[in-house]
Amino acid sequence: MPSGPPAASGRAGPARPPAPVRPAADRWRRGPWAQVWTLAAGLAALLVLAPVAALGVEALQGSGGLWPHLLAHVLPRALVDTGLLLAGVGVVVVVVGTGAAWLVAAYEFSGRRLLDWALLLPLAVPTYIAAYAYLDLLHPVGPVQSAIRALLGYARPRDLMLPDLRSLPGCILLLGFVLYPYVYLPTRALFLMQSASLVEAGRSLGAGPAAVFRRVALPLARPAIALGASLALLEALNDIGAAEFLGVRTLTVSIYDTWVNRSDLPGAAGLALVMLAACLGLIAVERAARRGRGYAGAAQRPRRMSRTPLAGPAALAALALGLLPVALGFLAPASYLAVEAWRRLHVAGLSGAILSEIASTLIYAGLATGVATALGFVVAAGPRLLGGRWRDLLLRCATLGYAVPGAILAIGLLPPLAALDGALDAASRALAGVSLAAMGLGTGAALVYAYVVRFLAVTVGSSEAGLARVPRSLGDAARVLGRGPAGALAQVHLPLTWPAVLGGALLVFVDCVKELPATLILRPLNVETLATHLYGEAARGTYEDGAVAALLIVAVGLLPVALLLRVSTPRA
Amino acid sequence: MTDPAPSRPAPALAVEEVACRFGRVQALDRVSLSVRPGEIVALLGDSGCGKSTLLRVVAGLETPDSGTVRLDGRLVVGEGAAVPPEERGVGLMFQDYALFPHLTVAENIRFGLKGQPPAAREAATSLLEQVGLSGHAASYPQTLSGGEQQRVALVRALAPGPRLLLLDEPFSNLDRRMRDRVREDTVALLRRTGTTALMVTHDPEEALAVSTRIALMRRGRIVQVATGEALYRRPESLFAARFLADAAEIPARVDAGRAETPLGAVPAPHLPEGAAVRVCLRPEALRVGAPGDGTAAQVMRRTFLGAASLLHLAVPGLGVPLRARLPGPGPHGPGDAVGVTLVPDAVLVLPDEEAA
Repeated sequence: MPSGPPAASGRAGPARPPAPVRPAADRWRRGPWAQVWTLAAGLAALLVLAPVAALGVEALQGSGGLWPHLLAHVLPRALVDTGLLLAGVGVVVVVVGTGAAWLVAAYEFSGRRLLDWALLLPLAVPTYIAAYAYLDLLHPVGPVQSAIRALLGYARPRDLMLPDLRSLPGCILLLGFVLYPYVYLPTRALFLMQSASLVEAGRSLGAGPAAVFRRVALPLARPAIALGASLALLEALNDIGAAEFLGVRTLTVSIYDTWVNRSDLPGAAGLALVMLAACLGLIAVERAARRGRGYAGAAQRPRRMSRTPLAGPAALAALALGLLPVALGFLAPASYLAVEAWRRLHVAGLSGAILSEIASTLIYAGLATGVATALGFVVAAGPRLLGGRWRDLLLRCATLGYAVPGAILAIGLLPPLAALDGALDAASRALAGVSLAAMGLGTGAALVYAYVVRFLAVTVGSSEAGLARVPRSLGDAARVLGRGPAGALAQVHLPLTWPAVLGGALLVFVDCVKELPATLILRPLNVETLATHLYGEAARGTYEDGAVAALLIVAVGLLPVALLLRVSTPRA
Repeated sequence: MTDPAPSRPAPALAVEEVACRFGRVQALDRVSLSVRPGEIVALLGDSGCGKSTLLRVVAGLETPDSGTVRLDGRLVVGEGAAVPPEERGVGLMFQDYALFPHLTVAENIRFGLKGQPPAAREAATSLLEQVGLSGHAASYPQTLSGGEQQRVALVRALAPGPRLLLLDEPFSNLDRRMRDRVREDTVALLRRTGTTALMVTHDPEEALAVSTRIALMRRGRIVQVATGEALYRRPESLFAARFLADAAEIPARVDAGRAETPLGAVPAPHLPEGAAVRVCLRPEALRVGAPGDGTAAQVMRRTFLGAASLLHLAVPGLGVPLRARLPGPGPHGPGDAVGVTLVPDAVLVLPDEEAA
């Protein structure tokens, strides 16, 4: 094998003699990375698909009377309540979210900059916390009703009956005003991205501002609205606290009730399957609503739409209108929690129980965040670095978990984990004579597993978004300049994407802190996190440290709001 | 295809029968090409003709479906070999330069020098000096002008001393004024460092200016490989003739070894009797004189280009307008009657691909 002239002989390892067996060695060199990736992505896909498969098996194992029983007594009410709830929440989030987005994107008024980010604040309030706060706020002897009675001169609660929050309409409004930011966020970004010339073309063709909104801006924003609404509804389906506290028997509540109160795992699994079908249906509707519509004008960085200035009463009205969802979705519950928490701390100080709950919350969320971030980055980078269409498919599988509500996931995880625990215990007894009871379910490994599966899509998505901004030629350049796939990933892709990766990690961390259903079902015995503590107190109707725990969760939830705003604001 | 590979030194690059397919698109269709040490070969063609794919196959960034690639005689792909890009010892300069935005100019250039002796670093520093950028070593690439970025990309690709440098549209991101100078500087640097180069371009003028030989590509195939002059003056196909320069085409048939046109008969050797041909008249193939000197024609329009001007001529009985190039503004204006004669050397007679 002739080597090049000395002057031209390059950097290809001067010490290594040119060996004729190179081809095989090269294949071996390329192989490991592809295999590591396949292993990681395959594992992720398996992690996600296992609980779903287990649900199917479990539901089939139920007694013959399972489905007739479910169909006759559980499903009708659960389906009707869930359907009405979703429809109502859908309308509220779309109207409030889109309206708020148009308000801050199309008009300029004093306070608009404040509203820009303040409208995102309800994201920090999990639905069960909003319900917890409002139940007390709107209680017949609570501050709001007392104030109204005082104002109207009534003495006793029974003299003036106000509509009860504990009803389906109450639940719809509550969820809607907490979840609308899911629509507000992408829709606002889309309104801001869309080119001024489109709006101007509409105006020049004779459409007034209202007609431009209806005929130009709204249709263009449809993909964003559909995406946001589907996320909000998935969140509503995942909710367990708010619906239960407000007396709405949704599927999620029924699942939890069937498992916890009746220990009927096949029944819970059957319900979970129905709910999974509802989730998939929702996603299919979202896909259909988005079909054929890209994000218009994203590529060529057009001149941005200029805001119409408002003055005087119009500006005040706009500000008031914009502040309404902020007040309902964030200010009221958050300030209630702050006052209550302060009272509690003033009287009793920080209890030891709260401290250990903070610790367990941080440990489980932190572990899950670490695993999900690392796995997400590797899984997202694979198709980009190694190519191949089936890799892309595997990637999609690994991110399905986001569509699976926590309750379903948890129920689906119980049978395989119990089996695994049993097998481990048996093996340990046989080999070492030591009993290893409940390694998975008992140690919280199951909880971390559920968090990772549920939120892997977030880290994969943020890693993908970051990687998509790295031109392919940069990775190619690193390869040609002597780096293998792993070297290119570590020295080029990672340094360029870490802000996006960290952003995803932060979101996952906060989501884990907030997640209630999976935590309730999978936490080890006698372990409480902030979320489960709050749930317990609200369910018992006691109000001890609950406000402190809730306030802490809201405070953690505020972290990503600033980040989201920065990410979603297109650069001028 | 016209130049047999020399037998003594192994070619710096030998591509044989390489085929590459993406879905339904045959990006490369059994392409063969060899590049001798020290040569600068241009891959010329329209976008989508496969030229960039060929470059990426040589670099190892794309794996062909079949065929072999050898660098200095060493098999790098095909027949069971698959040497990854990082072990091929080729340099690649990207169209968008692909400078790492998180690294300074100096760090970008050192990126490819990992594991090389300190002398390589000194050589890289001297390269940076040669292109006049030593003052920018600590800057980040995005703060440099387009021309400066181009030079950084070139130095980065050359720093590890590659045996073969691949360039993907290296000048297309520069504005016209700057392009000529940067092009000359680049060629000078390649010659000084004795680098063999394969360059992709869609611009015939650029290919003519830079390369020792041009490989003209079309739909995944190499249609002709020749020196720039040979390709320009003796294209083997109508496609090649059209790609290199605009021409007026007059359809004709070969009759007794000649093709008859309203401007006179043109010799058509090597073409079968009765074949449909096109007589291609580039602006330099027409001599414009006084009326009565050759075929009568009328000036329709004159386009003044500065150093030269183009006359648009109408010849009675000829369906297509002709164009002739004159030095300076020239004596003729619109409406003038002139006489036109052919410059036999510059007239091309080529088989009519559409009629065939």
